[in-house]
Amino acid sequence: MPTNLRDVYGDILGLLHTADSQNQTDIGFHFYEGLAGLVRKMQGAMWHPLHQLWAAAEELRLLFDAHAVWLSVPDEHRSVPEGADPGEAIWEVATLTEEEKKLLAPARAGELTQELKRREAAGLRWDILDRPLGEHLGGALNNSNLASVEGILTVDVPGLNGAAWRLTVFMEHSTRTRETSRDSTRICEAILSAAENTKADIFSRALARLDLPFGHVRPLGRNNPDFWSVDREGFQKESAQFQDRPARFCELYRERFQSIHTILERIYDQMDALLAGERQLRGAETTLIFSYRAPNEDFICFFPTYQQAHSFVKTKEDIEDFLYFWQFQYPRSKAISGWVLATGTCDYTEKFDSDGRWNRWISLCSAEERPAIERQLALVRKFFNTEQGQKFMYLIPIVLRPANGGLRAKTKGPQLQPILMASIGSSKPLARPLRRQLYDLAWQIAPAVEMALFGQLTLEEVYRKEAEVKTVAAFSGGIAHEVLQPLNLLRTKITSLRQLTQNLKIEPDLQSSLREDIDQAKQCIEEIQDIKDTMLNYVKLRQGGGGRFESLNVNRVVAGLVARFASWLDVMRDGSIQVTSNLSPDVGVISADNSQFRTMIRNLLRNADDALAARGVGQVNVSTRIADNWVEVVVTDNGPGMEQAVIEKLKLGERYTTKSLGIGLGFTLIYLSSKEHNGSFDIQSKVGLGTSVILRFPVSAQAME
Amino acid sequence: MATSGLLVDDSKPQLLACKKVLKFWGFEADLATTVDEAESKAESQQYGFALLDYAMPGSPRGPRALIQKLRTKSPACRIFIVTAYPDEAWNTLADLDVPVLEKPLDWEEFKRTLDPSGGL
Repeated sequence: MPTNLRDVYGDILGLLHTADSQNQTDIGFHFYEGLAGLVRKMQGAMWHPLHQLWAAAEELRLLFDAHAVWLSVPDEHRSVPEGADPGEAIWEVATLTEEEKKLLAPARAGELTQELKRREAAGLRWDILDRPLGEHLGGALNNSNLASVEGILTVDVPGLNGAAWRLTVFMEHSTRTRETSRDSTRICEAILSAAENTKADIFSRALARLDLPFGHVRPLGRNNPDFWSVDREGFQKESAQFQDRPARFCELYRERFQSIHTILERIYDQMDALLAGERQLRGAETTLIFSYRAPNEDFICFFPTYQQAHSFVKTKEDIEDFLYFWQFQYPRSKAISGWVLATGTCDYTEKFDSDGRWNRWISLCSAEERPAIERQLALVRKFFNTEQGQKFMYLIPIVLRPANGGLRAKTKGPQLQPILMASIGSSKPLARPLRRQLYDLAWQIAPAVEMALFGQLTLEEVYRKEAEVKTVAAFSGGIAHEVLQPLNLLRTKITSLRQLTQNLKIEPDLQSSLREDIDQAKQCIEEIQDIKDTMLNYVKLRQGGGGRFESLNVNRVVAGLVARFASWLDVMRDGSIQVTSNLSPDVGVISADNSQFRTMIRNLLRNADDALAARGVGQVNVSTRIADNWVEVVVTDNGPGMEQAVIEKLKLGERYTTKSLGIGLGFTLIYLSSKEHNGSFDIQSKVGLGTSVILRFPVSAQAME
Repeated sequence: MATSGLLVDDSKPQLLACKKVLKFWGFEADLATTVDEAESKAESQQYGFALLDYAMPGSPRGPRALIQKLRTKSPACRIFIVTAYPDEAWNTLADLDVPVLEKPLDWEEFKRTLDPSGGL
């Protein structure tokens, strides 16, 4: 698994080398097939919110044109001899080896982009041209004149808790030839380096001379066909205040440009931490489909695998169904690599449909994938059918790796590098439709980020959850004192009453009935206590409070809880539900929070009882064992079992209860407590057969008693 | 071994109920509703065990000094804190290494803790 930039780019250079030897018309398929392999190779270890990466990918697709070769231009070579082709001149003096030039020839010819990363890996840095930006030399469109930059847009979107997101996009013209400009890339790099560069004033003056529609974009409302409002006046005012401080101006734009990368970094770190436990629970399997439909009918989908992307185009169904599908099928964002399928208008898809390789790729989908993929394919087919024929579709493979600081590597060592993109390219400009898509997508980015960070919750749900925690915290605090005090007395009284019944000289039936009443009262108190423990532990964990870890004899505690449960069953279920235990002598002591551990198991026992209560009869078994370096506590019942959809909810720690006034915190607490203990849990259930819940605790924490 | 205990709680009904429960099991107990009262009793009598409430509004000093006195006057005394605020009690009295039991107290378990052999 390559995590080092050099390794990754070594792979990509290898692919380029392979592509270079291929037939020109085949270059796309073979290269991307190889790249897909690389993507799959990297896919398993990466967890990133897809929306944000999609947006960053789109931004960078504009910035890092697929046909660009990023050249380093030393100062002494910037003066191009009269009559010479600036592109050729720059190419010749670029600090590339001959081998690299040969490998990069296809890219320079306008096929692929990758040079930027090579330069970063080599420690090269970009510099600012001291020639006025926007100049054409000899009428040629090339890298050195920035003429192709159409505009620089910033889109402000709201985030949670007052955070603001700013997506900065550089818009470029397409050129008449397949070679599109890399100018926006140069601007980005220049901006990024300007603040640390003595030529910041040159850059800012150069930027100011350009009549580029720098835009601060304000939303006009989704129903307004003209989404964009470019506030040139606002930009001019902003730039004017920095005339004496060009470095600050460049720094400002650098910050804005890097905003999405910074956000991505933060997301990466938080998602990584957030998903660490889930990765353990759920493994590396990831399925994520994202789609976006632009107002102009352009349709963009993102697929985790190349096969899925290709498969997607083969089926046409009602697009509304697909939108429904993705809204309710959207899992927690994990995938970070895959393929973007975008649409345009040309007849390129005819080639796809007639290509036998498409069918082969579709056949590579797994049996599990096929129903979902077929449905996805079906959902978009109608959309793609137009009177003019199928819309153009091209695939943009994205290899995404977490960024460590933006476009430039700052530290040595295994580094996480920014996005690398390559695209087949388009013969039609995408600036206008893509601008709208980016705008709309920018509005989705902020809540999508929060969705990823908070586990797929919408903004409203996040606020509600936070309010809920505060309410529970306040309530729980009240419970701790106001309720527990009388409950303590009640319990003591119950114990005393029970003792008295043992000495009562009354008829055996009456004594038995009295004892039964008292025992049931005692069980009710214990049930209230369990609820109290669940709530207090939930609040503590949600508020980030750590557990009080101590050596805990697993079998002793479990045996005590089973005995307590058996007593409860005897009183409340009259023996119709039985509990048994199988405690492995190999299981010793673990480091655990006593209260959390007991609460987890008590909740599982209660759940088992609830599952069996409706039927009125059943078996519950509690076992302990060592398995694969884990201490496992397993609670099994032969109740009605659970639907898979419910299991998935519970595995994510979502609140769920079958009781009309239930709290539903049982599995939420298990979810949180498992993380707290660096453990995990699993639910195995079959409808009609029963359920097993497995709690796992690290054996490494186990110590000999 | 002394079979007499000291129960400290600001709730008189609670103390009386606890005394009754313990008496059934053969334990005698002195009662105190404040720390000052408990310290006074600990000064003059040895106890085999002590069950101390942690948060008593009438005793802002808390049970720390009482615990230390009990350990001085009754070295064999087994001391327990019973409280609705186990974390707070544990954090505050961690250095004294006193078992903290949560309210509502499980009397059966407490009896087993007091005497694992089943008799005292």
